[in-house]
Amino acid sequence: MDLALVIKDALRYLGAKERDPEAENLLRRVYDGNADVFAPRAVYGLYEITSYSPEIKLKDYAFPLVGESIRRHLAGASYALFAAFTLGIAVDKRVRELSLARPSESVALNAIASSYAERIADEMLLEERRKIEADGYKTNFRFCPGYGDLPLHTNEEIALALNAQKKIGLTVTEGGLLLPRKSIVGIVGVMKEVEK
Amino acid sequence: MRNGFILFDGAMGTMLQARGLKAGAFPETYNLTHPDVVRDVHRAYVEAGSEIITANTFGANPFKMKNVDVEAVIKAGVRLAKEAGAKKVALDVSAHGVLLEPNGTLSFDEAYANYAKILKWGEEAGADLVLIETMSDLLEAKCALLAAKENTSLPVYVTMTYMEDGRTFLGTDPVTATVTLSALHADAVGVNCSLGAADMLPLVESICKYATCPVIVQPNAGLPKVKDGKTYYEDTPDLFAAAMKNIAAAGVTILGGCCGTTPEHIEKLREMLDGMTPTARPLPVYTAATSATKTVFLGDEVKVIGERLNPTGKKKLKAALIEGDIDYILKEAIDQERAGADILDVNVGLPEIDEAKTLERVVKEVQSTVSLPLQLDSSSKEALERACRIYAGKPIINSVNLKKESLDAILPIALKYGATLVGLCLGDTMPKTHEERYAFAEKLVRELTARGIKKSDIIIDCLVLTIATDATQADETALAVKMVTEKLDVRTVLGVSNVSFGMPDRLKINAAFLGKCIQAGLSAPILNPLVEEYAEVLKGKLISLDTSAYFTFDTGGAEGIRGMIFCGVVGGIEDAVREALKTRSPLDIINEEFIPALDEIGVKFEKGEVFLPRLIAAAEVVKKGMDVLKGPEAESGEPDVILATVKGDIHDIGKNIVKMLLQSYGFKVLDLGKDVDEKEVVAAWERTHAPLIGLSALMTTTVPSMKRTIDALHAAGSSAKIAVGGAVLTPEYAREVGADYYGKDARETVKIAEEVIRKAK
Repeated sequence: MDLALVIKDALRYLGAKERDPEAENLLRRVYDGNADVFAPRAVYGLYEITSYSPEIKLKDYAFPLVGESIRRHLAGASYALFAAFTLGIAVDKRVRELSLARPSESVALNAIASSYAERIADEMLLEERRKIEADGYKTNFRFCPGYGDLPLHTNEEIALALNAQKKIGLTVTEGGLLLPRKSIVGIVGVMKEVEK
Repeated sequence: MRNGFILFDGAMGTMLQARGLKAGAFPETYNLTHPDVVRDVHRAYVEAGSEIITANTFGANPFKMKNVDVEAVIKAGVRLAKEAGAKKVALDVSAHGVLLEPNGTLSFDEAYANYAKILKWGEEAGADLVLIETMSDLLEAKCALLAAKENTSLPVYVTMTYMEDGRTFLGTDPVTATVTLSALHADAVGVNCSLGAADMLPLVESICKYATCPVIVQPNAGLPKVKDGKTYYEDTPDLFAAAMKNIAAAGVTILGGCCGTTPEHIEKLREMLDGMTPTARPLPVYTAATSATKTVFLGDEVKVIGERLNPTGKKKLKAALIEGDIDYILKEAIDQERAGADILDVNVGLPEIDEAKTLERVVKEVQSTVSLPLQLDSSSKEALERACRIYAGKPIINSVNLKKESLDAILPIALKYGATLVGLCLGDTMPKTHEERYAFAEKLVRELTARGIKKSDIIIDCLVLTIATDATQADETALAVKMVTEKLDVRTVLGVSNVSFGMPDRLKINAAFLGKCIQAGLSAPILNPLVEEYAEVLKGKLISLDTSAYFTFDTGGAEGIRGMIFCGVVGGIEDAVREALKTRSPLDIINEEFIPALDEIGVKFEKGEVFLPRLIAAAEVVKKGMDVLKGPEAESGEPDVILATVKGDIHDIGKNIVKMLLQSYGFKVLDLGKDVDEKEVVAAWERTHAPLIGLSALMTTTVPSMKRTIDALHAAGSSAKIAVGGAVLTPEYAREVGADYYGKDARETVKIAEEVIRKAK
């Protein structure tokens, strides 16, 4: 994990100017003082695509994937890789606690946790991609429910399929909101590598 | 089993997946659609030797299974297990799959109602016992356990699931779960799922050390592995049985399997158990209190009970309780935790408020913010009952005394909820000497144990009386502590500061008295952990709070109060403002120091020259300064702004930033919190007629809820201007939902407030 990149993103979320060593320094201190609450976990599931129309269906998966955007995302894919990540509930509690004890640190930690979650999710997913790519496939980017016209309730369906509550402690509210807050659900297309 | 063990079955979900169940579908629907498949799995376990078959009802919950006849699913589930020849059938109950309030949106009462339905259906269908399993949230486990005890007459087993770090996803450790659930009269407690049997042994050993009931363990067949796209579990039946041998030897008597275990695993387990006898466990004896994530044992070393959450003599806390300013209350809790308190006393007794309702709310909020166990301090039966019910651990109740009405009111609650109980040395008379105190203590222990309270669940308060009227009282109390500790072998608490009531130089007297009582064997003084004099006595136990924040910045040449605001210097602002007050009026300080400094930082923030934490740090400093100027009296009065995060949305970070900045500009804010129902917003406006209402929503899915709130306000004839904000909001969205203003950020919202409130005034 490249901490410099995490800090850089967090500074951007917080509206810091391009080069601000003082702000950067402060975020590093907040990170150092709170990194103990980051507990990243991930769970994956690989599903074979069995039909594209009228909606995308996957083998052994109970729900269809609806909308144009996911159809484009999975165009040409043989499999869909479901991925769910979370940084854990302790981060949320710490952000809340700090919002009362030291509000400025709370918003800083919130931004750091968001950027950390994105980066660690990518990093963990990379390992999974490598395994899949070793078998002669290529993978595209992580597409999340809520992007384009892929409905937010897809979050709940994927979480159910991955048994995410039991495996990584990820829950989804009725409105499709992920809890713990620093969590990500995504779909990666897995395509056959074209012979060169 | 004949030899003293009870054998459960193994997995159902993974068995059904192997027979074609799709990922994401509910395995429980197979009870109706594929009854033969479910019955066959049960039968295989019966043949393998399982005495208790777990009905296929794990996820059968009206909350999760919409558009499904859950009653039919549950009743079929119990019936199929019976048809398979089960000697006994366990109704399987688990989590809702979402978080409880205030972390999530599911209320305790709703969760309880769902569990009550499930449990009644299960008992009607003929279940012989209840298995509450795979729980991560101790409060939800308690909710299910209470529902089972109150709605059925069945025995209830409860198991939690832990990760490799030895905690559940919500942070509960096995000791805390065991102490709490045993106290709540679970018929067996333990662990399931989580890890493989071999890795689980340390968890199991700590559970066996503290469980006052039988222990149940149902591990996975090791960790899941994937090969050729198929999931399998690494522990073979032989490996599983071998690891379970150590688990049984640790003192576990109820055994079975979870994910990945098969009838072969259970058969091997049965063969292994046939050759063993249960290991006798000594009955554990301890005096403890728990939160959802922590156990505090009384006895070995001194534990500090923080006393600051008690409105007696505290004007600001009193105002916060009356106005429902939960953030102020939480800040008091957090400060005490940071200063080193082990337990927090919570008392909200005020004639102006509904104590039961307030205590319940404060306990809910405090337990989700700090990790310390709570001591619920009230003499109201209703308040204690409600607070004990929604409290996530084993609380301490403060207190019961020898008066009949006190015993009759408090004892049933302590018994039912497994609370640790403070017995106060007081009856129809007041003890004066140490002998009298000891006699009261002895009588209390006799009376309480006769009525079913365990001796180890009793803590004695030897009663501190002021030395202002009788100088011998300090020594008499300390002597009584020594006698109770040594002769009665019971732990003790004392409200230390009472000793100096009516005296000058109270802290010094208190500290000296504290030292004396600790020498006498006092287990837990109740005191203000922020007081330095106590920290000196309790060497290394309490730490002084660090008031300097990380966010202090280069001054850029600014000096004085403005400089402190500009640089985020929190420590020292109060003194600087007090000094300024000697020569200047409060209004002068606000208009010439606070506002210009905030404006300057605000403009820099708008230009992108400083980042958000710096703006907030400035607001923090001003807020502290404002507190000095205003004093507690100014806290009352009608609010200028009502703030709420709308129903269904629990993102409140943005709203809290807006609140903070508004307050630092001197606006009075009524914060309704997050996930706020439209009716509550309307009621708040009708009560206060605040000129401005700010609503926030972060998700596209909760914007409709924002519109409903605005429509409801208009329908109620509200004349308030409405400003909206939040990540998904845009000026267009704001118009569409019927708002008057769009607040891009906190700074913008301050400008809106200035415009609206100036007009209103």
